[in-house]
Amino acid sequence: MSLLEVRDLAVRFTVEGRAFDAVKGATFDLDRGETLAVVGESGSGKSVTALSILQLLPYPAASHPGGSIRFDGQELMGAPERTLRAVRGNRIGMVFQEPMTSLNPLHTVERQIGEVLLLHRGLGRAAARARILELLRLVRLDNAEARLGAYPHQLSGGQRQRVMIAMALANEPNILIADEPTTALDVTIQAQILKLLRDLQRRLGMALLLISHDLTIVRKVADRVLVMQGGTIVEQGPVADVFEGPRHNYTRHLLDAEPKGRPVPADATAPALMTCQALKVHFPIRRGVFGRPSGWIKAVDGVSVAVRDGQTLGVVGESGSGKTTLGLALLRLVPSQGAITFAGHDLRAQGARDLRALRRSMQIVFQDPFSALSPRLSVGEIVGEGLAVHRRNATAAERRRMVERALAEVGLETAMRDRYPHEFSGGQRQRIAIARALVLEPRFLVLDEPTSALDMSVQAQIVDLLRDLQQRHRLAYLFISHDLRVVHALAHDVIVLKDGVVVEHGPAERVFDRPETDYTRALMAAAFAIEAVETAAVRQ
Amino acid sequence: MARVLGLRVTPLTRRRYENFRANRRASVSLIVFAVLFGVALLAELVANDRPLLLAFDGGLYVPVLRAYPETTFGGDFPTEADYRDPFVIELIEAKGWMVWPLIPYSYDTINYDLPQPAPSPPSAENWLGTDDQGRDVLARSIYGFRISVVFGFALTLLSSAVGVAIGAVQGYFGGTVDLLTQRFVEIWNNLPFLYLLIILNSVLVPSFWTLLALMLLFSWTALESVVRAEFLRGRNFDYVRAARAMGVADTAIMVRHVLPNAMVATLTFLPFILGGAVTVLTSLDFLGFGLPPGSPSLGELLNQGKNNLQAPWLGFTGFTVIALMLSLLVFVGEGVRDAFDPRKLPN
Repeated sequence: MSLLEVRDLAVRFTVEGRAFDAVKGATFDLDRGETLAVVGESGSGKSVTALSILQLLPYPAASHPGGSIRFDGQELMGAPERTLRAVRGNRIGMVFQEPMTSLNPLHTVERQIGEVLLLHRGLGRAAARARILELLRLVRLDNAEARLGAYPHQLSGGQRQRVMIAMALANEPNILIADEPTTALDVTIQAQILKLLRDLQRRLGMALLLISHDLTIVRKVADRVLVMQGGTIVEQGPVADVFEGPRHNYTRHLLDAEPKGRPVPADATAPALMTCQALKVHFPIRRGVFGRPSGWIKAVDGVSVAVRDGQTLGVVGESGSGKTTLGLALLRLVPSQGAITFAGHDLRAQGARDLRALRRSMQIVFQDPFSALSPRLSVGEIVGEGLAVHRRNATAAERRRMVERALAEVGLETAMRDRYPHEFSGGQRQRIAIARALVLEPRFLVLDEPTSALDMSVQAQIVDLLRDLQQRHRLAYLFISHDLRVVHALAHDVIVLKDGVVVEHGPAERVFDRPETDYTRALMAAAFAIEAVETAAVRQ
Repeated sequence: MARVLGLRVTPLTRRRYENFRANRRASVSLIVFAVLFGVALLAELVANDRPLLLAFDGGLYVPVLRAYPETTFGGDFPTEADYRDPFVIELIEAKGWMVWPLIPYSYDTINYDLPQPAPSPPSAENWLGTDDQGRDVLARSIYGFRISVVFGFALTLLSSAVGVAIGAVQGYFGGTVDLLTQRFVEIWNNLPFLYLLIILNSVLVPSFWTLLALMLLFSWTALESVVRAEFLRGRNFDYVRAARAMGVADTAIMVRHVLPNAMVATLTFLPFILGGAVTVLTSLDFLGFGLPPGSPSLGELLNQGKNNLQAPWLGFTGFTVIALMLSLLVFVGEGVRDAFDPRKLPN
């Protein structure tokens, strides 16, 4: 008998009278000491499946038309709340995707973990404290004793995720459910967290149910894999079998979907379109009544870059390294110091009117396609907004044609013009955002993590689209990403940022094949092999 | 996408409307309030000391709309006819007829024909009695309700416009503009404004418009902070950044992209600002520093109730009207607030 037996699990959501089947007849087992990965795109029912094991769905909006979940021989489906409470956080622990919102911002680390111990074990204060310290050391939170009194906002994303894992492990669960535990983290920290999970699993002999959309991680970590599509399990089996010989079309599609290819070769002597010299962006830390700056956060500290006409400069680095700020500063969307030249114009010397005219040639695409489009405007209005500023002379019909052309160019139907952003998927929204930038016929685009919020297969499509557009319109890209695989597929040149300073730059081939600094090497190892390099100078 | 009156109805708006409709107390309150306000707006046709329609000597006259001199009806004076004068009534009825409003008293009509000294108790003639000057309490309540609500609406609209504009500029530009304005608002908010109003009203001649202007000076801050917070949040949205990157002008960005986000908070606040405005006007009237003497005012009615405890109909009427009006506004306000709350599902 397996530790966890799920049979014909079905989940139905009823919203405003309409029923939606999120999971349709999922059947799988989880054995002691085993790692089972659930993969699939967003909306495939991965998380819902995991949440129904602990009966944590928003009932009564969610319901189970059928199925059974047996944990250690005990039926959890429809079990009384008392039984479930005894299981939750005690015998089955859970780690969520977003560590910031999963921890109570008003409780210290000690109190967060102590609560679990108190609930299920009734440990006293001193005993609990000893156990908490033991747990924090187990998850390798450095400086554990000093961190007992820390609040979540005082910890970094990786540290928060370690605390979450410590909470989940507090009662030595038989099963740990990890729902995209590393998606919100940098690649380097992702590697560390995954390594930690694996070590802990081995030491404690627990079963791990890992939900992920990242196949590289799954290949590295899991024993068995379960592929979900549209609420149905389309394939399951040992990782090696599934990855080497996928039987289902959808699995094959997923495996093919990783961003591949290399940028179209370009003239390395092409003139620089956008350059900056010793660019600095410092944010003041204000204190006191009059808000006098008491210190400075040096988001970008003396960076010089050159983006060549028709080519891509990749900007990589961990979160907080100043990648996005650099992009915003180049477009003069945040105040900065240092020279910025665009197509021969000194951007700093331009008046408001001239700068507005130049903005037509330099555009930006943001990371999150859900926040990048105003929810109250139709797609046509969103894409056409810039035309109203820069093509005043054009008639309404001409503008409409330009909008339609831009939509067609990014692979959307022109009839989508009258629809609203919420009707579109993440990938389609990102295409709309690209169309909004393209309609002005720019020469330079800042792409700020344009693929990070998207599913893997959609990422690949967007990468292909960007490469195609670059070739067709001779666009210059500043491509910001923490995902080195995507950068590898697009960039001609690469700069590596760390704490606002360029630590390495050069042609992409050279940087990827022969990284010169430890920091870059650690980034590469984390991204391509998911190896945590203990000695490397990456932050925890 | 569906359209109502040429305006787009987004699914979100539809859901909010349905949420509001699902809240029975709020929607019933809104209907009751609308009916009461509708009646009060037509106060001249409901409670008036002039006939609605009058036939005299083969001609038709509309005294509620037009003034006719007494000589028209064969009287002595070239001034407007007093239709309550028994002599005039006799003249008209001899050659025609009159149709009176439901309540044949205006707010300032004095009933000289009282069986006992004013204030007189409710009777078939004065349904809610008269006040200490012999004026019909029901008529004064209707006119008082109207002036309170109209004043409240006017003040709410104006102070929202000012508050939204200032909050928007503050939040969108941030920095020094925000810092200075915020300090000013903090000081301004701490002025004891009721006393200031009383002092200013003793210098200026109080009228509907001066009161409105004076209260506007202090009431715009209610929305300013909310709108400022929404704009501070909204100016960093990616789509706002994208618009800036496209070179769209600041005012266009504020109106098209950020303001719609702030409107939710604003709309949620409006019924409560309305209630607050009505309360302040009533308290000024109660203290005798409000609308000019003789105006129909609920505060003045309460004050009379306080001075004439032997005539409880005064206090009861004033209390009932104000309590009803404020309760309805609060219920509607709650309904609107809940309808805009994304976490609330219709049940």
